[in-house]
Amino acid sequence: MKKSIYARAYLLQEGGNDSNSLILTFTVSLICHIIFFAALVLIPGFTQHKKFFPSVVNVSLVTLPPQRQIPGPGKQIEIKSDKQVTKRKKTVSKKSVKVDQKPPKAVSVTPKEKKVKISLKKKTFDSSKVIKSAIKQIEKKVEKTRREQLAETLERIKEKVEKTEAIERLKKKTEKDVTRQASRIPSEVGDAGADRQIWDITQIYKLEIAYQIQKNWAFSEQLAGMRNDLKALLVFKVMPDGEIRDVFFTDRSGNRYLDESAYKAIIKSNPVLPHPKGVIRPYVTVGIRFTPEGVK
Amino acid sequence: MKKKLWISLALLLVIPGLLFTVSCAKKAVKVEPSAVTEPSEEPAEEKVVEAPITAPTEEEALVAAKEVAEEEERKKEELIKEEEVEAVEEEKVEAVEAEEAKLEEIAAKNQFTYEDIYFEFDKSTLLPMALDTLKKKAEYLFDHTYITAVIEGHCDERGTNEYNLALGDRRAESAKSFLVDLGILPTRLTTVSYGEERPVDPRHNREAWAKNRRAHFVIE
Amino acid sequence: MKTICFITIAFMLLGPALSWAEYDYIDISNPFLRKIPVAVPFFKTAIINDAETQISSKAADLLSKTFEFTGYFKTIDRNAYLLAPNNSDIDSPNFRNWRSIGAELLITGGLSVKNNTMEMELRLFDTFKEQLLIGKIYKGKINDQRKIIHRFCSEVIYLFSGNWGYFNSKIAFVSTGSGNKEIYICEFDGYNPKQITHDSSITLSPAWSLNAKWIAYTSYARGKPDLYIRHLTEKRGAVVARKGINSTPAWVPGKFSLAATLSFSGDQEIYLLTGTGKIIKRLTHKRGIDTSPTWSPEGKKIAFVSKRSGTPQIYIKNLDSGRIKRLTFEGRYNTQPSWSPKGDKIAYSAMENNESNIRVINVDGSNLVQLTNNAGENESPSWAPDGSLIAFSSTREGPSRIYIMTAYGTDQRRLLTLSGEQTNPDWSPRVINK
Repeated sequence: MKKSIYARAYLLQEGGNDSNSLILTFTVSLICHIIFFAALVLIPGFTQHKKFFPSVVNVSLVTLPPQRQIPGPGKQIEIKSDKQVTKRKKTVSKKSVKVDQKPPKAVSVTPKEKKVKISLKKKTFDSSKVIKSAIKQIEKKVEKTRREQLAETLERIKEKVEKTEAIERLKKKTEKDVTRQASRIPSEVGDAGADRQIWDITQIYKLEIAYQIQKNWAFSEQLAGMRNDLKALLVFKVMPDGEIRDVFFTDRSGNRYLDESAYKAIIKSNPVLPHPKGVIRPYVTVGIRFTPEGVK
Repeated sequence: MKKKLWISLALLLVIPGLLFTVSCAKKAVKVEPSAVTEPSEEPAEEKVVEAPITAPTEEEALVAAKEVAEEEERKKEELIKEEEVEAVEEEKVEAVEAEEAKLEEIAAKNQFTYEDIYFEFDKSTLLPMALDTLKKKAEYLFDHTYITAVIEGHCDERGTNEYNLALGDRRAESAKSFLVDLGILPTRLTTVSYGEERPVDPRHNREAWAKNRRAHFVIE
Repeated sequence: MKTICFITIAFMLLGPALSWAEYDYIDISNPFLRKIPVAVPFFKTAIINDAETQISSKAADLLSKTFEFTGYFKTIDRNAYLLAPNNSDIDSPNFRNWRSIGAELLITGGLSVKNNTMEMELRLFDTFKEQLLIGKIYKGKINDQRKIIHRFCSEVIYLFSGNWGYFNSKIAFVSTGSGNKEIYICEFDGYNPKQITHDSSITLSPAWSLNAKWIAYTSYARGKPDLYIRHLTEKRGAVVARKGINSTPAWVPGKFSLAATLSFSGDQEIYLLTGTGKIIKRLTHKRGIDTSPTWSPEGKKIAFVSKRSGTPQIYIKNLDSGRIKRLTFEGRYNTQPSWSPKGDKIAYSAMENNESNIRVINVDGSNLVQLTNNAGENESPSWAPDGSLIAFSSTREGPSRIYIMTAYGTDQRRLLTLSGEQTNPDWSPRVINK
């Protein structure tokens, strides 16, 4: 930029007919800048890709209950492909597929409160019930403000920890609604309605992810001095298949222990549920703020 | 008290009785001399004016003296008897009094030892009733100048051991300084605090607590 | 033309700023697990024979229990472990396995016994970073198991919290098991209680000196409350037997002198004494009860109980400046102060409505918290040498027992059970170079 300024000054001194060179220098600098920023954005994309591949396979058994024994690697891969091709509606979480190669034993750090987010493939749902409750839930949500939405949804989700159907229902309903909405688009509000619907789904999805991360968050507040003013802010991307990438801090708390525990919580939760139908983005960006309450 | 009554009654009866016997003996002596003088006058009538009335003869004098001596002896005996009886009575009275005194003494000692002074919760100030009790104790101490005593300070179980140890100390001191003000020599009194460690009533209610907040006296 | 340039430049600058504001954060404020999950598999033994296996399982159990005692860690149930101990490598474990069951830390141990000596290797790993954090080899007799485990735990705690913990410390307390109040001592986790006074009268208020070498206490052995200062292993000591009460000993941190309440002057005041019982100077000068001193960790201030304002409250005196400041204003009966070795807080017994509870307040008077509630009479708080735990007595189960809780009131649990009633705990400073 300085060059151009100098150039301009020089040019001004010289006279008027050199405005062409000004445009020239400006365009050159613009191109350089674009190349620079592009490089910044794209290169991390390449490196991250490699980093996460192994962890995807290993982590995340925390929530798997003993019963759901998956037979072996071979079968799993088959199932995976099957799923992808056929039943996208029945969002059987790909998590069950990506599960560790070993037969899972009784697990979990915390007493059996850790809920099962994975749904079995062979579950049937009472669709009418599902729709009704889903509609109720959606309506409630849409009415409230964002804040309340978050808090309330989290609470409600927490309450239904034992039942997998809760989340399942949620997803089913969002899908059904989306499809219904989609079919009605021409006659109704139009793009705005559909967009809002998608935004809600995304919001719910993010909340689910946040809940899962919270379940994996182990943190001894006493070890961090029982302070309640610490905040660690992390952002990460969730790929369509539920893989977490690009975890980075937007704000470190200053307490190394808290930062590490937040990071670990996210790593432990990988992979999360895949994108629900209706979310068509290449990835969903989720931001989490870890703020231990400190003294109660 | 009854005993005294009986004793005095007995005395009243006995003493007049004694007096009565003494007076009867004198009359007997008087009669005899008159009986002796009459026969001597009859022979005098033959020789009409030959022998006037003469003094009693030696025999008569001797007899009279004997009688007087006997009288005196009797009187002495009676007096001695009286004295003996009196002495016995006195002894009885003394014995009774002594017993009574002993009982009183024991009672006073018990009162000194078992009558405690009481305090309000978390306080070491003396209540009016406590002052009265202390005055009685002072009296006792004045009466028995050879006695030294230990004043124990106690607290109820509420509160903490350490604090109650200090509070008990203050309660004992409080009692002691009042007695010293009344004139008892401070060297005669020692204080010990037992805090909440030696309650007299182990229960956990207000009644028990009130009984335990005390200063207690022990004679050494 | 120029305006276009400027506009483009401006837009490019704003671009990144706009993208930053885009993130909306979801708040998470409650960790699901408030402790660090750690896995402690059975130790690997050189030879698989009964003796070694027994020792190894005892050692692993002791390690787990000691970790849990701190309140910072939670050991994962062994049933959840994926592999048997003797199959895994103790110096290069398969971290994925451990991460998959949720362990953030892993401790492996190796044991080999020869005659009467034992060699124990202990390693602490971070399963996420896949790093060895601490690795030590200890040699000693078989009976030194506890010592070794405690030393290792000290290393771990030092790594996490910056201080050495309390694994070598002891707790002294009063118990009536023998029929009279006598002083007992036990290790910090309640192990191996021993009776150390046999006066058959009344003993109160034990207090440990630096390095837990001496102990001071009040005893009625001579018919009145006298202060005894006793060396624990050698038969020597001193007695302060002045007129009145001689009570509430409190050692000056790091020195061979102590503060105590003496009332020979006619009033209960706090004095500074040498370790041999001679008076150095008088510390309080107000008429009325002044008792129960406790020292700040640098030994420059004392907190004590005084009735100078009408009810027993806690005051702080700065010994250099002589200034006295009242600390407690809530409640009408605040006694038994204990200054945290970290220097920032004071724990004390507060009695309200005939119920005693433990409260903690910052030294500047702020942030008053009550740590016990509705659980009988809770008295006599005493801090662990690193300020992370508090020992106290409680009648919540009926007879008075010694309890431990974290400095924030969590994880309240009984320390030990003896016949009779246990009261007045005092936690010793760390014993260095045992």
